[in-house]
Amino acid sequence: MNNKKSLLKALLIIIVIGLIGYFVYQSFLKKDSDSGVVKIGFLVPTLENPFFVDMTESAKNLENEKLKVFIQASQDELKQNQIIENFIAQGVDAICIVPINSESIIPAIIKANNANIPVINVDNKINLESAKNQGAVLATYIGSDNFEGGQSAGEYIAESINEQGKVAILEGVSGNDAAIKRKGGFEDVMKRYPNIQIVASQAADWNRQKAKDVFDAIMTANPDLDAVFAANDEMALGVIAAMKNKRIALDSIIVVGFDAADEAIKAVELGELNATIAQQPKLMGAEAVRLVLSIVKKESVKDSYSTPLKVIK
Amino acid sequence: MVKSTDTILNIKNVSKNYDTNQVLDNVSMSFSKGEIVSLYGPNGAGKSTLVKIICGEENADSGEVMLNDNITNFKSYSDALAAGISYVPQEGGLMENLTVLENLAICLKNNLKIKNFNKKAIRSLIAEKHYFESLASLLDVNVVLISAYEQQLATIFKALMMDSEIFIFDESTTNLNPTDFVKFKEILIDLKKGGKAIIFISHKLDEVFDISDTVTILKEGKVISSNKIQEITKLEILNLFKSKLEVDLHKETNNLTPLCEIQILKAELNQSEFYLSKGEVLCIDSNDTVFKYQMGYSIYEELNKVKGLKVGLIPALRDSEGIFPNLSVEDNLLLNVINQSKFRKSTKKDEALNNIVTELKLKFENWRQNILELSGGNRQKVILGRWMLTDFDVLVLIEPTAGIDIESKTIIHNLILKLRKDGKSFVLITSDQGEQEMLTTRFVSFKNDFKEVC
Amino acid sequence: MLKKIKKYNLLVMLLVLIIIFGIINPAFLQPSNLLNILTQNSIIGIVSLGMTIVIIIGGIDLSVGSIVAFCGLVLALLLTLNIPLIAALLITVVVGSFFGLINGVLIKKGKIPAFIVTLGLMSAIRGGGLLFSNSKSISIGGSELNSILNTKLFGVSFSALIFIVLSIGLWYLLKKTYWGKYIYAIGGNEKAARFNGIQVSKYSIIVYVISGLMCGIASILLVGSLNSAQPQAGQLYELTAIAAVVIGGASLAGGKGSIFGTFVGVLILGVIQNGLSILNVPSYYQYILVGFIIIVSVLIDKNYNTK
Repeated sequence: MNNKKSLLKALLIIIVIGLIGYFVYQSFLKKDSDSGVVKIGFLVPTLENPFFVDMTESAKNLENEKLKVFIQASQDELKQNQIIENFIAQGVDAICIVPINSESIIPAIIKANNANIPVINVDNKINLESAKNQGAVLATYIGSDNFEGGQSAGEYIAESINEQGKVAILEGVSGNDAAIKRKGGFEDVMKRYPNIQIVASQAADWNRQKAKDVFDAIMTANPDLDAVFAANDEMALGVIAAMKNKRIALDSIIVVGFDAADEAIKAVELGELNATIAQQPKLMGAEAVRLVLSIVKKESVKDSYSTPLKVIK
Repeated sequence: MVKSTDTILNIKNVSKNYDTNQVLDNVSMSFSKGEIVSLYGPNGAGKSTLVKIICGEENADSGEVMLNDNITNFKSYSDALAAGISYVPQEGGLMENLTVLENLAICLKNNLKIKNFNKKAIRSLIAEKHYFESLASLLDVNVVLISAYEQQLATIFKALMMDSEIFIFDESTTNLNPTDFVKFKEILIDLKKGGKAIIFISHKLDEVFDISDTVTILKEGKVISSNKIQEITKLEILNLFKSKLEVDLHKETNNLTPLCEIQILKAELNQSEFYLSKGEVLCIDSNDTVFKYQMGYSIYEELNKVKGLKVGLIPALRDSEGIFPNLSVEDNLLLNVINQSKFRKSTKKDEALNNIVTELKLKFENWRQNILELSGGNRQKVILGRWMLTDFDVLVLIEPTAGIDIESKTIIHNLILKLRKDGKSFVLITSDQGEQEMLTTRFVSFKNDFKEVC
Repeated sequence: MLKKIKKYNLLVMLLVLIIIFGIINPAFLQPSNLLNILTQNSIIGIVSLGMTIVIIIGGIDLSVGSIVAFCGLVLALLLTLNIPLIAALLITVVVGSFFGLINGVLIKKGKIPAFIVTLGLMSAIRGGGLLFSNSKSISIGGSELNSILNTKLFGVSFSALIFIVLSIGLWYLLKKTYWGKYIYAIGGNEKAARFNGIQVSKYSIIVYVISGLMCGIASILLVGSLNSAQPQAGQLYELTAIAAVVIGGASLAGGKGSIFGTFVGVLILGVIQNGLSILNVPSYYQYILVGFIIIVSVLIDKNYNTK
C-alpha cells in the first residue's frame, strides 16, 4: 500500500517537473518552423447541413503546403465564441465566421481584433451597427445578396405568370435582415410590372406550420391567386401542404422558395414546387479563403462581396 | 442417525487480510456429510468472511477450499450455488421490489430449471415443502412490506428450496421466534439425515448447543478449538472469551419522577396511551413482531413532538436505518452533535470520543476508517455511541443487540443499566427473552389487539 | 487513504491528457491557452458545483440549463431597461434561487421524484424563456459586465476567479461545516438521517436552492461573455454537469462526491474539448472520447472502492 502511494507521488512529481521544464523550453525556443504557412480558422454553425459541408469542403480543397484550413462547427453561441478563442490560442492568421447569432459573436471578434487576427464574416451577417458600437472590426464580408435573390425570384415569377396577375409574399421573422432583403428585392422587381398586384404580404417566421396557416387565410381571401413567393423553403413547403389539404391543383399557383434545401430540390424535381433560389456555398467558401490570402498579402479588399445566386427550376 | 465421516468440504490454511487487518489466519477445518457444524465466536472473529470465501463472494489471500477433493475456484456465489452450496447471508438476499413468490421463483428458475414463470407450478412446489406456515399468506406481498423476521424466514426458505449438498446459515436465526426455531431445527435434522453438510453461525449459545454436532470456535481469525458438542460446556466456551454478564436484578422502581405521557393515535396501533418516567426501561411487547416494531417507531415520532425532550432511536435494521455507509467512524459518531459549538474544539471533541471508545470498548483502526469496515457489533456500538454523545432523555431501542456477539451484547446491556441509574429513560422492543428480563422495569404488552399493563 | 489515491488518479488523468495534447500540438501548452480553458469552463463549472451537492444528497437536477437560459434573459432584459448593474445581478440570482426553491419544495414536500420534477421544470422554464423573449435573443450591446468579466488578475480572468472562489466556498461548506456532514449523511442514508433528527426536507431544499443560485451566477457569466442572452442557451448543460460530477467520483446513488473531484472533472472535459479543437479534430470524436472518459473514470473509482 505504502509502496503504491509513494510510487504515485513520484510519478506526480516527475510529471510536474517535466511540465515545468517543458514550459521553460517552450518559452526559450522560438518556433519558426511554420512561418510562411497561412493558417485559417473556419467556423460554421453545423456540419450536418450540406450547405455548410459544401462551403467548408471547397475551402479545404484549396489547402496546400502553404495553406492550412481548420474547420470547427457549433450551433451554440457560447461554444462559437470559445472556438474563436481557441483559434486565437492556436495562432491562426485569419478567421472566417458564419455566426449563429449576429450579436453574441461580437465579444469574440473583439478578442480576435486584439490579437491582430483579421475576421472575415461569411454568409450570416454580423450586426454591423452593434459591432461598431462595441468597437469590433471586420476585415470584410462575403455572402449572397438576399436582395438580389429576392429579385431573381421576382423575375422568375413575373415570367411564369406572363407579367400579370395576383401574387402573395410569405415573409421571414419580422425585423430579420435576410427577411427584409429578400422581400425588398422581390418587391423591387414587382414595381416594374404594373399588371402584377401584390395582394398579400405576411410574416410566417421561416416556419412551415405557420406558413401553412397563413397561406390558408390568404387563399380564402384571394381564391384567384396566381403566384406566391416564400422567403425560405420551409415556408414554401408549408404553402404546398396547404394547397394539398384544400385539394387545389398544384400547378394552378406558382410557388417559389428560397435556399435550395434538399427537400425543396426534391419538390422541384417532383413538380410540386416551381422554383427555389440557390445560394452557392462552394463559391462562398472558396472566395472566403482567397480573400484571406489577399488580406494576408496586405492587398486592399472591399467591405463586402456577394456571390451570385441561381434559380433552380 | 446416519453417522458418516465422509468429508465433503475441506478448508486448508486459508488466510485473508483487509489492508493491515488480518481477518483469517491460517484457518483449516473440514465439514462432513450428515453433520451440523457451528462456528462460534465474537464479531470480527472471521466467521462471515470464512463462509464468504467458501461461497466465492470473497477471495482468500492464500490457502485453498476443496469441495469433494477438488480445489474450488468460484468467481461468485452463483458458481458456488451451481456446485451445490446454499448460503443464507446475514442480511439481504431478497429483492425488495419483488413479491416473496417472485423471489422464490427466481431461484427456482435458476436451479430447478423451471423454464417459464408459471405461478401455479411454483405455488404447488412451494406447498410441497411447506416449511413455514406463516409464509404461506405472504407469498404475494412485496418483500419491502414484510418484517425483518418474515424476510429471514423467506431467505431461509429460499435456500432450502435448492437441492444443495452444503447449507450455510449465517446468523439466520436472530429474528426467529421459538416456534419457528423448533421448525428450523427439525428441518436441519431432516437435511442431516439426508446426508447434507450444514454450517451454522449464531450468537445464541443455546441454539448452538441445541442444534450442532460439532462446535468450532474462532477468535481473531484463528481456530482456537473444535469439539464434539458432548465434549464441551457452555461455561467452558464463555470462559474462552472471559466475558462476564453483570446482571443487575435490583430494579428500584419506586421514587420515579414522571417524564411525559404519550398518545399513539394511529388506528392500526390501537390508539394507545402510555406514560414514561425518568430512569425506567419500558418494554413494549407483543406476539406480533411487525406491530411491535411499528409501535417503536411511532413512540419515537410522538416523543419527538414533546417540547424540550431529547429523544433518540436505535432502529431495528442496523445497516439500512442506522448507519451512514458513506461516512467515517468519527463522522458516524459525531453526526448528532456536530452542530454544537463545543464539539468544534478538537480537545473537547477528542475527549468525548475517547470516553465513548473506552466505555463501549469500540474496536476499530482509525477515526477516518469507513464504518462499513467495522463488524456488526461495533457498528451497533457506534449507533449507541452517537446517542451517548448527545444529552438524550429517552432512547427508543428496537432490537438493540440482534445479531451481535455476546461480548458486545454484554457491554451494551451494562451501559443501558448504568445510564438508567443516571436517570435516562428507555423504551425497549426486543425479541430476545433474556434481554427483556434483564433490562425491563415495566412492561406494556399487547395481545389479541388488547392492551395489558403488567 | 483510498480517497486520496482516487484524487491522485483524477489528477494523473488530467495531466496525462494535458501532456498528450501538448506533445501533439505545443500551442496547447501556452499558458494563455491553459488559462483560456479555465475561463471557458467556468460557466459549466459553476453549474457543476451546484450539481455536485444535488447528486451528493442523492438527487438530480435536470433543469439547470433552462434556468441558466432564463436567468440570462432576465439579466439581459434588466440591463436593456438601464437598471443598475448590481440590482440586475441580484435579481438574476434571486430568480435562479427561486427556481431551485420550486424544485426542492416539489421534490421534498410534494414527494415527487427529483428526476420527474426537474425534467418538468426543464421543459417549463425553457418554454417560459422562449415565451417572454419572444424566442429572440436579447442584446445588451457593449457592456460594463463584459469588461468586468474580462478583467484579468495575475492573468486569470474574472470569470475563472468567480469559479475558483465558488469552488473553495462550497468545498469549505461541504468539508468543514456540520451543514456539509448533514448533506453527506442524507445522501448516504436518508432514513437513518431522519431517525437522527436531521431535518431532511429543509437541507434538501437548501441544496436545490443552491443549485438554482449557481445557475443564476453562471447565467451572469454567460450573458457577460456573449453580450447578449439567448432563449436556447444552456442546452445539454445538465448532461455535461452530471458527466463532470461523475468523473469527479460522485455516485448517482448519493452520499459520495466532492467539490475537488468535480473541479478536476470539469477541467478534464474542458481540456478534451479545447485540445481536440486545437488539434482540429471534428467534434464527433470529442463526444466519443468524453463518453469513454466517463466510463473509465467510474470504472477506476469502482475498482478502488471494492478493493
